[in-house]
Amino acid sequence: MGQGTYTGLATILAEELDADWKHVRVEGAAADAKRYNNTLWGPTQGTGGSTAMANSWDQMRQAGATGRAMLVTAAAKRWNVGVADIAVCEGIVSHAGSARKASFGELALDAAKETVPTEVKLKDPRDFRLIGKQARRTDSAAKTNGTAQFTQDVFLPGMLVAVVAHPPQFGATVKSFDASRAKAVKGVVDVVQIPQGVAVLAKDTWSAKKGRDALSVNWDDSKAFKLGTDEILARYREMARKPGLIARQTGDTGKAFAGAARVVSASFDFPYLAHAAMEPMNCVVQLKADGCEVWNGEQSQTVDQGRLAEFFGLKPEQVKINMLYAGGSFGRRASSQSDYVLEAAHIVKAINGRSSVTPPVKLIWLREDDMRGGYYRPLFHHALEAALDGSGKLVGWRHRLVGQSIIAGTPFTAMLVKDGIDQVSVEGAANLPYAIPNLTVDLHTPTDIGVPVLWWRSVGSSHTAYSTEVFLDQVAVAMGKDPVALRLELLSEHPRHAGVLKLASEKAHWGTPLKAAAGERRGRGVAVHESFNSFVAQVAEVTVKKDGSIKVERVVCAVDCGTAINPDNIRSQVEGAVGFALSAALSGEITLKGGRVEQGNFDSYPLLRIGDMPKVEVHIVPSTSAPTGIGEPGVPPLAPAVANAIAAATGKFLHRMPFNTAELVA
Amino acid sequence: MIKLTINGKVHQLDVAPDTPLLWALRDTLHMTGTKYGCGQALCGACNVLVDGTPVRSCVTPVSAMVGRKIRTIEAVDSERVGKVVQDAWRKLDVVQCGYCQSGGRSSAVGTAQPEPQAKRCRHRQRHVGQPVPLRDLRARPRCHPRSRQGSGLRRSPCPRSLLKTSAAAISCKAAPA
Ligand code: FES
Repeated sequence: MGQGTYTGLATILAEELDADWKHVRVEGAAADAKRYNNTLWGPTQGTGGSTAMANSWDQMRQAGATGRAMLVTAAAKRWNVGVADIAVCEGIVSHAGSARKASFGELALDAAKETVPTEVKLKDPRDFRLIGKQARRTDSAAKTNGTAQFTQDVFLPGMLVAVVAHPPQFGATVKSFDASRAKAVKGVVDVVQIPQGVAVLAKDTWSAKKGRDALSVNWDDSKAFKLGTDEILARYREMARKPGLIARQTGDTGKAFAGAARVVSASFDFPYLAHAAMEPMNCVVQLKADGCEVWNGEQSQTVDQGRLAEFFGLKPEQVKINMLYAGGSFGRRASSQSDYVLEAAHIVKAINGRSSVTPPVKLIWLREDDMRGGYYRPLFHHALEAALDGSGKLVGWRHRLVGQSIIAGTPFTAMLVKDGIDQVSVEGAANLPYAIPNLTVDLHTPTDIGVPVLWWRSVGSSHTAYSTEVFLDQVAVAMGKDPVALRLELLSEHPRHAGVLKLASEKAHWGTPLKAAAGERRGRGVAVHESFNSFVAQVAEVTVKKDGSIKVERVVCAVDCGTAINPDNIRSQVEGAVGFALSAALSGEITLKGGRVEQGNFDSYPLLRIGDMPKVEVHIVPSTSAPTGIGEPGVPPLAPAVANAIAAATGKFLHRMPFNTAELVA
Repeated sequence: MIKLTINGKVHQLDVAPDTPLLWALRDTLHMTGTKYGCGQALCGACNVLVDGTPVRSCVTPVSAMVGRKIRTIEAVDSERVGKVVQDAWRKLDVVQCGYCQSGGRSSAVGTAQPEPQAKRCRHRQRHVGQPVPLRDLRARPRCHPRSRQGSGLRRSPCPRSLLKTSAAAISCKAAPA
């Protein structure tokens, strides 16, 4: 949610409309699935799965071309000339023969009266003036001078700020609480119990926080989830000893392994991860006589609207959701349970009727609330095995995954859980592109783990790309093959994978020696992965110091995401993805002890610092195919490329994330 | 009542003295350009300039700000360096989600700002307050994760020249290495 979509969608529309880019302004759409349906999701408004450009490409082109046609018809009528003689350029409609011209604004009212044409001609991509060029971001000015409005910035008359004391474990509830000290804090207005905890309402955030600090709450932990991450992982490892539900079966894997001359195996552990968006979750809710109004950096309008309507006993159209800029999300705001939005609604309901006018409430999660609030990327354990035959050929592959389902129990179950297999648990593993004749991918989905989980930028691929691509390098070592050469050999049926792989390795000068300073080890590593219908290969250059600490110096990325609408947006997204993924690889880990989350802020959950950001090069494959995802696909290949570079430098493959650099001490 | 000088204007605020400058700016004055990210001096989203030096406003009580010159994103372009940084930011389309950008920019402006105290530093490090060649600003500071940390530019603070006031100490301690 870097919200380059505000530029991307407008670029597509302005292109076909032949609008003047300088005059383009973009507004966030209010919740209304009839108008703003995500065309890839059925009657649902929302963004996610890197679908923004893919779902809007045809729609926005059609809309732009339709608008242009109506403007041209209106001008032709006004000037009494043929439509064929009219030209449109940068927001000006003109007729050369009579030297007449008019701006879109001058024609808009007339154009709006024209019948909407059913068929319009779209531009030949060769005539694009904005697409593939450098349309400037539409949100730069507001985000540069501090005027961009995020949910945090909403102030309404009489509004109260709510800060909530949440239970220390998932599933714990309030047994009793004493609000007397909290209520004595200047500025605190009210203290109410809600199912999520105890909410302190105040005139401002600081008073609300002080009020919460002064609150004493007894928690009932009888139904709380009390395991630690070590215990969860031990259970998963145990589960991985037995076969799970088959997600993919090709050939006869059992036979391939029975006849193998050599078997390579490895297992991988992936932690829970927090999204840690820079704007912690927050939401403003106002109850009105005829409905409710919400302000939120929305990612999932229809789901939130439906849940709020159900909660307040309203019709969905009585829930007005104002779409604001989102200070990051990485999937967090598309909460399948509308968790923080409903929390704000519960507070409003709890105070409703306490005064003549129910004040609007801004729920603010402090960083600690956000980080301990769950909805993490699920913890996963993977076990892989590869069979090499007598001639050293890779003939068998087994991949077993154990981890919670993100989708089960959500409104997306019908769409994304097939025969008990959550498709997003195995994405990137079940569709492994390599030509391996015998292949089994199976999955265990534990259902007794009470940690809320959610999609986290690149979802299943955030772990499957790592295990598959690092393991493949391990296999390459066993086969004595170069990692790029082996991949290309196995990708003969997948030209787009091969295309980005070749481009990245060529730009990174794959195969040329890397000089290391005395006492240091250096290496290059590669990974390629398809996600959200886009293909990304990355080559990382890494230095490993004596003490095991690592420095990622350079990452060369090759991206094939179809038509590049805004090349600079693509570069930004991929650069951001590299930083995001490197953060996770180096230090991202949410751990639980006795069910309590051990991290709370950026001291215990550090993000990459500016000095650790590698130099990133992004090469975009020229393409005329329809655009595909770009928000997420830059994430999956990064960690495996870095791990493979570390292995090239040290001979050690890292089997857990975040990396345990103690294993790399020389 | 606490008297604060913000962007050249004097404001009288009826807030508790321990209120962090961040929340006074945001909740009392509705100057919302300055953002909350962590509340612990860890991220820099809340950076403002105090006497020209970037300071984490989330851990700086208003009581420590009396008599100081506070400059926020709302007025960052009111003098030359701020304007140049602002223009560079726009020209390069630095922002993505943009949430923490005010803090990043205040940091960059403070870094690029010649400060008298910097000149007195004997340790020859480039640090907060020492001029940065403007060409460095063209090195495409990107939104994530560089400025997600709130620091628009890399800098190594010089502790001895910065540990002068409590506010500066905060900014120094929290500055990323
Ligand atoms: S909010 Fe002040 S440093 Fe993060």
